[in-house]
Amino acid sequence: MRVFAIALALVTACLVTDAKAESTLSAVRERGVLNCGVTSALLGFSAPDAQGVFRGMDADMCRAIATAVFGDPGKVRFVTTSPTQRFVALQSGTIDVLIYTVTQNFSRDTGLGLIFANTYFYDGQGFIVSKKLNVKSAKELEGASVCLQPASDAAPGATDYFRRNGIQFKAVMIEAIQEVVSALNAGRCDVYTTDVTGLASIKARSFQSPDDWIILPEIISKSPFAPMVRQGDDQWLTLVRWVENAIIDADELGVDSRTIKDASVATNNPEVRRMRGLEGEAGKAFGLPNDWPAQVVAAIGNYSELYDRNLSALGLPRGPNRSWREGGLIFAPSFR
Amino acid sequence: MQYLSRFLLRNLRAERVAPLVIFIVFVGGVALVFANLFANLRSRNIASGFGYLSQAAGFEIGDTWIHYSSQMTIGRALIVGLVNTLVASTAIAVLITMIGICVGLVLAFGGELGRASIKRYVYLTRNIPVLLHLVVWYSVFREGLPPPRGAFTIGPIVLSNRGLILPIPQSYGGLFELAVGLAMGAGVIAISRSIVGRWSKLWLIVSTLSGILVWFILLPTNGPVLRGFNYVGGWVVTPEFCALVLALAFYTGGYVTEIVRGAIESFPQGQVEGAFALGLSRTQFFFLIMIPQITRTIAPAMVNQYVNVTKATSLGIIVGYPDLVSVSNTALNQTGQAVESIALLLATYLTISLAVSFASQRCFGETTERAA
Repeated sequence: MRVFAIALALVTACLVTDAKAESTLSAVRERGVLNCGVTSALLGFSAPDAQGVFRGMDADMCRAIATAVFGDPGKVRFVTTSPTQRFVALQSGTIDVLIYTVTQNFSRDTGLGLIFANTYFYDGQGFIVSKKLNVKSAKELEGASVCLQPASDAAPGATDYFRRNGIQFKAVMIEAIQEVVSALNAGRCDVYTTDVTGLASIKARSFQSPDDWIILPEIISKSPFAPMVRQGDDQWLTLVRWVENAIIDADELGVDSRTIKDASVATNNPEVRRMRGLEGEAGKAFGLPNDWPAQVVAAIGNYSELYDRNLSALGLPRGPNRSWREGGLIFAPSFR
Repeated sequence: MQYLSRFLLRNLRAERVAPLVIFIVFVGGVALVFANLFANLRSRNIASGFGYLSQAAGFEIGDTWIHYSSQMTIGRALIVGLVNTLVASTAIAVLITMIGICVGLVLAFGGELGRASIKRYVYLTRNIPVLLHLVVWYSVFREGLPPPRGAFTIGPIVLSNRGLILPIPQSYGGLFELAVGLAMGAGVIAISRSIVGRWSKLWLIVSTLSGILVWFILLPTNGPVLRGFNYVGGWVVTPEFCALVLALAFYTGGYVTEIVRGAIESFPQGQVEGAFALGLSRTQFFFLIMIPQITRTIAPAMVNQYVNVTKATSLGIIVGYPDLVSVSNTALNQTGQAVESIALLLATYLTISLAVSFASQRCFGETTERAA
């Protein structure tokens, strides 16, 4: 019986051990690789290319954080998850950061034990329809069959919009995006709704003749995307936020992946000098080298490079994702 | 004291204590895991508890058998999903039972060709993953049927890739429906009595059936009318429902076939010879000697299949049928309460499966005992 009691005590001890005690940054460094939660199938944000390398804005954000921690954009393991599993994966510690085009909202900020870093992309929910239907506005969708993915924000978003406008619709909930595309092609649904970038992504990649499809002008919701980390690890949250800030600031300061380390460019700007580690101690708070911001920009590029590389192929106007100086919303505190 | 210690010594044998210890360890372990889980959820500021069930759902469900709108609660949405799951499971159960009966008839009367085609059917179903069956059936409904503007219409019935749309009779304020319901009930009683007993009540069946036909065809209906993108009105059986039900019934039918075949092949040859020696015809032998006996052999294995299809309806998410899992996932994405959602799903499927096996034990338990 005594043996049994000891065994029980041991099991208890194992179960009760709290994973929170350890800081994420030191855990990542010890492991030698960043576990980054991404989607596997959203062109422009995160999707494998022909060689199996993950490409896109989300994937590059993961690389930027890995560069800050290790000085090497390759030290990241892409953990592909799903809309239903993504938050649990982060809560349980399977991933260190979730960069999965997650829309910020109140209930996610308060109910999940997770916290959002800064917005890196402004999106909004829209509609795509076949040109054959001759629809010019979402207001004309009375009685339409609408394809939706069950575990997405689009389902409540569309419901809200149609209710506000007094439009009846029929929901067809299909999980796999390939099946959604077939359903649209076959005319099972008249319209599909998700974030506009998602619509542009399937338009560019999934339809045989993309020109037969039209994205309606209405943007019916706000979808600001931000990386997520666990609550209660302020150091890790701060690092993720400033990796984003470094990328945006580099854009504003006029330095890019080629010129950030070029000593002849912007030598007198104190912010650029700080990013290069020549002034101040940018790495002190994290125990990282002081030039980590410069390494991040050199490896990944500034915000414009990031956008052009990943999202210009979708053919969307840059809209709110321009710098605040050009009338957009992309804004970051300065590196001071 | 002496008595007590002697009592304990006599009764504390390992084989008596072991089950108790195992039980306590198991219950204690489960309690520990849950206590730890909830402590961790609290310490990480993750919302817990089932309060979310009374929040407004805020999403639509395409296929509902009970009244639902997006302003209703998440709990109500989950019940809609549960009803969808139960309706689909019941439809599949009826279909696989019919497949079983047909297979039995073919094996008994069908000859060599029938037997060979049953063999091919079993090869086809059992050697292809159920997921592929689903995708193929769904694409048949989706691609094979025309969009609403080119729909097939047979009288007031419309068939398109938005589903099979049947006319609903207009409402006459309850009293008329009550009368029709009573007439239908009388018809059902008449049918069942006439099958058991005399055929003299045939006229009752005919009159009831014709009454229903008149109700559906002659009276004005809120029939399906093409308006804008879709047919409006009528009662819609969606292609997602059809694909799920037919694919799972077709697939599970392969297993049912093997159960029936096994039962028929293991039927004692002596009884066959005995029956023919007594001058029974093949039909009499089949219905009077074989069916009553093989039903008892088949029943437990069939119950297994009924439980299986109930669980398999959760694959409906692949073809867009809003079953319990699909609705639960949509709710989960809004609330983020994964532990509670999954626990609810587990408990619900466990309850359904246990209820099915319990009910069938009550139904067949006696017969199986008698058979043994």
